[in-house]
Amino acid sequence: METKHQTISEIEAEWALVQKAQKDPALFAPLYTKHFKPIFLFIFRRISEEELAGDITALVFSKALYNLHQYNYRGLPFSAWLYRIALNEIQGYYRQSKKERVVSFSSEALGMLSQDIREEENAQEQEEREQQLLQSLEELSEEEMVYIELRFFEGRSFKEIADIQQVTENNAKVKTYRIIERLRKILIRK
Amino acid sequence: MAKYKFKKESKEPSDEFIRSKMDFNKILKNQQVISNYKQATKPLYKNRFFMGFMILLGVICLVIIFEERDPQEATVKPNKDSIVVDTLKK
Repeated sequence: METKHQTISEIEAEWALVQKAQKDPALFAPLYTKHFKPIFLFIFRRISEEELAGDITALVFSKALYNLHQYNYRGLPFSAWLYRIALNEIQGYYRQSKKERVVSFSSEALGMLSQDIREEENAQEQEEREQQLLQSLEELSEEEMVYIELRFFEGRSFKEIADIQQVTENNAKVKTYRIIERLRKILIRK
Repeated sequence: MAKYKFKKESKEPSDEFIRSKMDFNKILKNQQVISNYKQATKPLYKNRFFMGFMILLGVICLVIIFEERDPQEATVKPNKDSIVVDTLKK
């Protein structure tokens, strides 16, 4: 997982780079190089097609560069803005293509989510429960799935989730726990 | 139809592949293309020159209307002095 919490000095140093790039688009190159891989992987996990992920990543950076003059510093990392654009592009792609939305995760991540929902986990029934869990995830809305992906499948902190989703950290926590509670109820019903 | 397609342990592309997709010049070109497209499809009311011209045209029209109205008002509403002069003449 490529996630790393940025310190305030790092965020401010990045803002200085953004300000330079706002004056001269050619100076966007260091930001592009730094964020390309995380953004590419973020998109790939939700698209699962290498070439398409490359195209959408290029579109995300092109739009970021085009709208860079509108970007204002609000104490958030620049990457949060890029992730937000990426999420919009992914949603736009699925709206147009009408394909099934891809959700990628590791067994470990799914196990963690399963543990969070059910306290007592029996190893024998684990596989069956994971199947039930996947069926329950089907009932989540697009926005709820984004929270589950960011928190459990990508292991992001609530601070990062809040930055990407443009909510407060507390709000991100509350929303995530409400989704967990909803999943728990769906599982009990099954 | 299922809403989501779950992919467990999907293999991520190699660093080499990701690097091969990096092309900053393409981004600069794309940005120019988006910029040109947005400029070409910009609605007229957002065009500063067009709006300036419309405001100028409005001002000119108002000036013409008031210029034409002034002599009419003068004939319709004669002031007291002119009435006195008219009666003296008679």
